[in-house]
Amino acid sequence: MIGTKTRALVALLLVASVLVSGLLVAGCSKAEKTEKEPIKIGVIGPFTGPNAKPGGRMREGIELAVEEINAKGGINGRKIVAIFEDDASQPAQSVAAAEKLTTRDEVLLVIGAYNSACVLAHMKVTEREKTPQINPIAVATAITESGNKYMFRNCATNPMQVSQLADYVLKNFNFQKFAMLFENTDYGRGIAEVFGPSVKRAGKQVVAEETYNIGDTDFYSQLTKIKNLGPDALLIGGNLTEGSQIARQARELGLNVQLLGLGGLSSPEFDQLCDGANEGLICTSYFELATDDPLVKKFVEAYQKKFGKPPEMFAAAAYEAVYIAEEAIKKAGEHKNLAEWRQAVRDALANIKDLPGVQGPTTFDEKGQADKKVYIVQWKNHEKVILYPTGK
Amino acid sequence: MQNFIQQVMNGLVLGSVYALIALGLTMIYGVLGLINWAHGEVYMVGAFVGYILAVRMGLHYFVALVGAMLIMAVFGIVVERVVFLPLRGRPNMNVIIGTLGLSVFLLDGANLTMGPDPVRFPSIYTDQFIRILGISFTVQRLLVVVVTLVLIAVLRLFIKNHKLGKAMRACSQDLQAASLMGIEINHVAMITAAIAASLAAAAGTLIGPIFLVNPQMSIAAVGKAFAVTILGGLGNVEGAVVAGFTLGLAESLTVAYISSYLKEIVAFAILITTLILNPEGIFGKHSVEKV
Repeated sequence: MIGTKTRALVALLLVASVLVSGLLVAGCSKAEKTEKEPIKIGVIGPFTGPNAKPGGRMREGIELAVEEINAKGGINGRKIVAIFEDDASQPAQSVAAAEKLTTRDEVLLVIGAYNSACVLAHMKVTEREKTPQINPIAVATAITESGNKYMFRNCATNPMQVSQLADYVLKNFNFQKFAMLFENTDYGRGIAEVFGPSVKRAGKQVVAEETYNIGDTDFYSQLTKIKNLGPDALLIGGNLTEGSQIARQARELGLNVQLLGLGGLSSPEFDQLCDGANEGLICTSYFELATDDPLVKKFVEAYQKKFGKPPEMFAAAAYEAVYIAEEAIKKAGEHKNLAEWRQAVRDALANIKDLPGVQGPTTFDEKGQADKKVYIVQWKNHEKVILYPTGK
Repeated sequence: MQNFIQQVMNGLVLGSVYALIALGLTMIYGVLGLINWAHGEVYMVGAFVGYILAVRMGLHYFVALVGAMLIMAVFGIVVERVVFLPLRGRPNMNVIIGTLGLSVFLLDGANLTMGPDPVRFPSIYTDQFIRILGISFTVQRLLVVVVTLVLIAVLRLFIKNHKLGKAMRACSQDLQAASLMGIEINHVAMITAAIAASLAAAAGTLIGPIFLVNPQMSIAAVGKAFAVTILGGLGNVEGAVVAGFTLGLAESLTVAYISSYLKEIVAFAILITTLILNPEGIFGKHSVEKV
């Protein structure tokens, strides 16, 4: 098959580029003998396959952060180097990647990955090798609920996002009846299982719980049913491809209620696909360009300069993860023995308090989950207006 | 009541989609005796051709629709010459691998040239609404149903009355006997492939504007199309139409009166029940009248 061949070619090129960069690093250290060996950070992500696009953004965020840290002299006088391993969104491949990074490359710390299924698979390897891992993107609750002492996550999980959205909407609007239309997957059901009870606790009603399958294109039947139940707001529990069609078909049917959504619906791609149907939709967002936060401004400028385009949430999350790693490595100090060093970095990560970052301050709880606030934004005329937090 | 009418309308749109895609699939089986695993991809390529003509080149929607059908008819003939002809009369496994190869080729080709991300395919009719008796739909949706019915009627007339249509029916009954009677099998094969591909192009260009267009649309479409084809009886044109509308209505009414959880289950329960009771499909006679 063509796909496999291309993949093999890409893999070959990746191996070649790793070899070349290895040679370059070796060449440098020979030239400047006084310089200490660089600190190695392993990165696992989908750099090929169906999620190559967000994987590429993740990689760019990491490259930028590494470059910035090295430009100011590295950490404790040592440069850092990121070693990228592709998992192609395949759990098996991500396990192999984690094995290679922790045992062969002997990295100090791992950052990754993109898919929850991949992280759930390879976190057993990083745990076994007692290597600290920062997970910037994968949101499955189980990742930090499994008792793994070496896992840290610097993004809000699904339940965190959903309950923040529910709190905001219930506090600021006087909606009585809610409808939910969500994808029939762990992701979609996870959304409904948090949102529904939040609504009921506030004494309001959930009048419809409808589902669809990934790849569905026609939602008229579900939306017709929802329209007849007369809700005040409709929560779309899904991703942008289906979400955009739900938004459009709801408008076509004359279902003019407040639309609500999550992370994926805050992306510019969603706006393009909706072509106006998202007007007024309120959703959560991990990362917004248009804030006054000086850290974000600096990041956006540097990213724009290096890559010629504005960053998005995945680049921001990965970029932030490198800075969290920097802080922990700095605090952990120098260790001759790799196992001791990894342990020291893990302990330093666990003690991080209010570390500023482009997604807001990071403090890890005892499970390794950062207490992250998400933005609540509203689409107005193809732009996002930040509703919460205000005055930031 | 208006809820019911709205849901019936929703079901008719879905049914038209299923019927149009399934028609090409069932015709190729009926006449050429091969199952075309690449039919979903032909539908997808047709949608992209319609998209390029209407959106990128700015042609009028109907010009783009007819244009896409003509271009894809030529495409169908090329596919018949290059892929189907060498496979004719070969063992089933060769046919499966051959058409699967074509499907992979078209899917990856579309990924490479058009990119994997979905695109909007707006037509002038997607933003025009019809609202009567409390029900609501876009003109584009009405267009899907109307054009589908027109195409089905034209196809039926062609098969029943035109000389070539009669030749097609003869071929579907017995290829060898037909050729002994002096029917130019090669012409019939090319015409069949051309009609099947242009019906798929019509489906893609009609449906593209109400949904989105992307290479993966082929995969979603083909599963249902196969179900419809089998439900209607392989090679049975009327059966495919009836089965398409049955499935569309069943899905939409299931969502309306039972639950969206059960949508796929009900559709496939109908399929399985029909196959148990009558393995030849809805219109099962022992000797099926193909095409």
